[in-house]
Amino acid sequence: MSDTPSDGGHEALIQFLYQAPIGLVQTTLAGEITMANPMAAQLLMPLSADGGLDNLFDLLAPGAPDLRARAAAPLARGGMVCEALRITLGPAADGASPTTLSLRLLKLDAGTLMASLSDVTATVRDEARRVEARLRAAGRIDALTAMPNRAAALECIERALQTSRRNPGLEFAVLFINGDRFNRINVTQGPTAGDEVLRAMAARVNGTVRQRDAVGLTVDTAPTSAPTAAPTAGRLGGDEFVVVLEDVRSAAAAVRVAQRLVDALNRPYTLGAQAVHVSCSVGVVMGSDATATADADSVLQDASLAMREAKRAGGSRVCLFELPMKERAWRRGSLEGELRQAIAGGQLFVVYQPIVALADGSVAGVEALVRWRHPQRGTVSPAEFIDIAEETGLIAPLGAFVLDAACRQFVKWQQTLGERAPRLLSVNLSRAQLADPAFAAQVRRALQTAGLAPGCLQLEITESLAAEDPQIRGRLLELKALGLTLALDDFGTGYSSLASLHQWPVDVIKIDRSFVSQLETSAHHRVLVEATVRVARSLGMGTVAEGVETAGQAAALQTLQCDKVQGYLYAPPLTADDATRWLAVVAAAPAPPQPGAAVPAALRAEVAERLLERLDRAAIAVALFDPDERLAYANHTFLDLHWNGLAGTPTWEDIMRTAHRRRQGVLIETADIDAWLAGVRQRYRRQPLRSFDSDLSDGRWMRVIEETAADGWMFTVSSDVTSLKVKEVELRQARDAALVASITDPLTGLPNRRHVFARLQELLTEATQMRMPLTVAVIDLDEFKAINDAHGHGVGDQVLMVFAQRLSASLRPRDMLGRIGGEEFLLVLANTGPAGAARVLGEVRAALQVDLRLPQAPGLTVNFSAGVTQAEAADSVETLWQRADRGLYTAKAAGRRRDCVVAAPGAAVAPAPPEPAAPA
Amino acid sequence: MPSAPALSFAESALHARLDACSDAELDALVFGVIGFDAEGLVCRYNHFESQAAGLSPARVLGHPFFTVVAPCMNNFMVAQRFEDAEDAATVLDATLPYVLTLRMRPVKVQLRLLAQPGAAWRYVLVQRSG
Repeated sequence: MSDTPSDGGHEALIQFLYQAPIGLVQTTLAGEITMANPMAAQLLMPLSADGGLDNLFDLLAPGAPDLRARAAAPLARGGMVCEALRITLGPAADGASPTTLSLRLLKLDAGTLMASLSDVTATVRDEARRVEARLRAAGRIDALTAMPNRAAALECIERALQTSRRNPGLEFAVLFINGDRFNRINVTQGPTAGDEVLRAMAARVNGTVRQRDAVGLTVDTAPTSAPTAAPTAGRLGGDEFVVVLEDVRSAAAAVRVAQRLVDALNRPYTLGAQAVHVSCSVGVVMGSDATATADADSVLQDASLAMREAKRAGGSRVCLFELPMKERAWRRGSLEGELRQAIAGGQLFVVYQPIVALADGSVAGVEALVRWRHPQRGTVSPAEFIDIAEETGLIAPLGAFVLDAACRQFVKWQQTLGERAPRLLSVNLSRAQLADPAFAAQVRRALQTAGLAPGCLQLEITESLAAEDPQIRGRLLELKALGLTLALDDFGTGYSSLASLHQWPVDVIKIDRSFVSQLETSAHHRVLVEATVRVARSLGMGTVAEGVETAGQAAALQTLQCDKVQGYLYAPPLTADDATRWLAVVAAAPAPPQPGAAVPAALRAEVAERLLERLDRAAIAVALFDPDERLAYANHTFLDLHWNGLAGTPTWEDIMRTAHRRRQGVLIETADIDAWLAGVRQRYRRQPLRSFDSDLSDGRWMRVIEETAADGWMFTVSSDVTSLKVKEVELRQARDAALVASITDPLTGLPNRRHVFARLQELLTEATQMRMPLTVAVIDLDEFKAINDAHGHGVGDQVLMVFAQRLSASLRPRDMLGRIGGEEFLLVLANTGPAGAARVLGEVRAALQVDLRLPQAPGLTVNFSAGVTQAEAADSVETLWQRADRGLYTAKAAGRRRDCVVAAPGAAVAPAPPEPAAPA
Repeated sequence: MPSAPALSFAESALHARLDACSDAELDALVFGVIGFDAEGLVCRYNHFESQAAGLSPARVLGHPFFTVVAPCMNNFMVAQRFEDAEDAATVLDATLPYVLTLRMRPVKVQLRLLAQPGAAWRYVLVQRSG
């Protein structure tokens, strides 16, 4: 060991090993260290208890206790004891991550081991970080839609919160999107279909937010923002999605985006061969609404509150968060707790509203309604707590309570009032009850426990419930099988139509109070009620009108032949005790007097004379014919109407012939009149009591009521109903106008979206059956927003009107054009291929060369882009429209002012002349 | 040769006394002394250390201590402590057990590390046991 360079090669090698950045150790077989380089010493010294480096196995024992045994064991060829053995050695004293050494141990010869050591702590840490990052990424992506998940969305909101706190001018918005009654799809189509729809929804959310928002928003353009692009749309779970709009200009801008989402998501989804509709509700919360202490969770919660408000308002809409919503939500929250106690603590009670038969005023039944006697707030209206009960599942115990209590009370009435007891008990059902597969059994038990015959029970379901779900229908049939009856409640408030009434296994239609309340003032409502009663009758269903408050309404309902009524005119909802008294009084009231019963025999002649005097002067026409049809009595009004110079004592037949001649003109063959009269006589025999409207030759209308008594005498009363008839005609015209309005876009007068799609369906079916070509074009006005911005919406509307006019003018009679929203139009060209469509669109373009001649915007011209596609046999309206829409986007992307023809997949020929190719 | 009381490895206030020692006085000590300046260049290297390490002063003096002469001390246990003391402008006087691997032979020793703000030299003293 001298510094003389006696052995240069050896010295250089030693220097090399000495400086090597890995630890090199030579030991005996027992682990005694005989050589070590500085790196080895550096790595091993911290492991030494006494600072010495005596035995490698001892030093490494805490991390690799079996090293000695391994080295002693018979070794494979090559003498490798271990290679890259990781030895983790306790946490470092300074709290850093534990040291991990990688050890390679080689048996060099019978007495020597060679160890190389390296510090892989950093590598291990890096690996751990990578794994963690991968796990985090996996934990941040929604597996179904590949969107950012809730955690990632919350991070994004948190980031936006922080950014806006640093830059108070910067506004952001969070949009909470939720499908309306999405579960319906899972239930009716299966969860796989539900997932498919969710994926489609995700794609539409992504598409709507990212592609179109360049106009209203600047996402991630601030130079200070982190280079990682913030996720703007994510899935929170289930059918809940979120969109975070960073740097949005105003609440109005955010609401516009939200509305676009609603529109995009409302379009039908194609599931196999069928189209499925899911509407969505969106809650919008602005970043500036967040309090100083708000976090991402609370912001999202606010957005969710607004979404719930949107749902409560009927769904399929946007609602902007406002502070009072929080207060209401809090109130609902506290109400929920109290309601729980109320159910358990007997604060709920049932009230009964009598239902009266219109024909005789008798008590037909009672409707059971729940009330809540709140210890502090007094009686709480069901409007306040039924929703909460529905949302929280409390509706199940609540519903069960009402059913049990009402059945018991009803039986009590049957026992105490006997004949005077109400005949029918009506109880409302909730969504939750109908969704419960065990519900029918529960009803059976309630009936048995109370000892009530099933025929006495009527369960009421609302239209929205009935319209919802095929499973509900099965449940309803189960209930009917118990022997009870079903009523459709709140009819007319929205969901079902008269045309679909026959699909529901209900026995009674309850006409909503909103119609009844307008009976006397609105002819429209009167007609609707009349139609409802007629359709119900034709289907063998009864009718009950709710909310009858005036005698006028009752009279109108009687005229319209509604069966039963309920409302304050008769009785408000009454507690069980009050109802008991009410029933006793009403049922004990004397029966209405029999005809003539009040007149003592001695006075009958005098009464008859007085009656005759009255009849003589009455404004209604009254006449009596004897069994030989001779006129026995006629008052002045009748004679004024029919006498007209008839000689002698006219018979019924004389009067009829005269009237008929007047109506039809004089040139009537006698034979025809004879045949007509024979028909009338036959009808009269079939219908002893009859009522009909008869037109006089002078344009007047009479409403006639006639009765042919068993002894052959005929009594006829008629009154002038000309004004009523005129009103009916007006009404019919109004109805027709309303029908036209419902299918017309009010601005352009073109068919509206609904109508144009309905027509397209018809034309598509026809074209497919006839094997005729059918081409559709989705036309979108170019740069319409710029027109609105530059000239205002008034001019924008005029542009749309003129555009629609020019478009219509360039079309052939068999073409159909409709406005499907905004500046978008749908053109349907029957018996036309894409080449023909191109010609038509070319003509339209030529017509648009001329300026629109708007006084407010002289010289303004417009152009449009169009997506064109020809229908194939496999097409649905949806696929056809989607394809055309795709073409429209291609045309827009290619610079507007052009058409783009999209061939159907699998179409033999792709007629794509000089159009630009679709972008990748 | 003036006779002075020999300094021991564990002596207190050793830094100033080593500074005061002549090269001859250092050579008389029975433990290794390596002194280096603010640049890390070896300025003092006593006879004992030269003998024990088998390195002539000529091969050591003027060379960077931690990177060339004793890479086995260029770590957090030794070199880092001098740097930390320098950065914090504090006195360093620490004794620690250590294993020298000069020429790959592990030798258990005690090291004493001496540094002082403003002083020209820092010292590593090496006491070999037995």
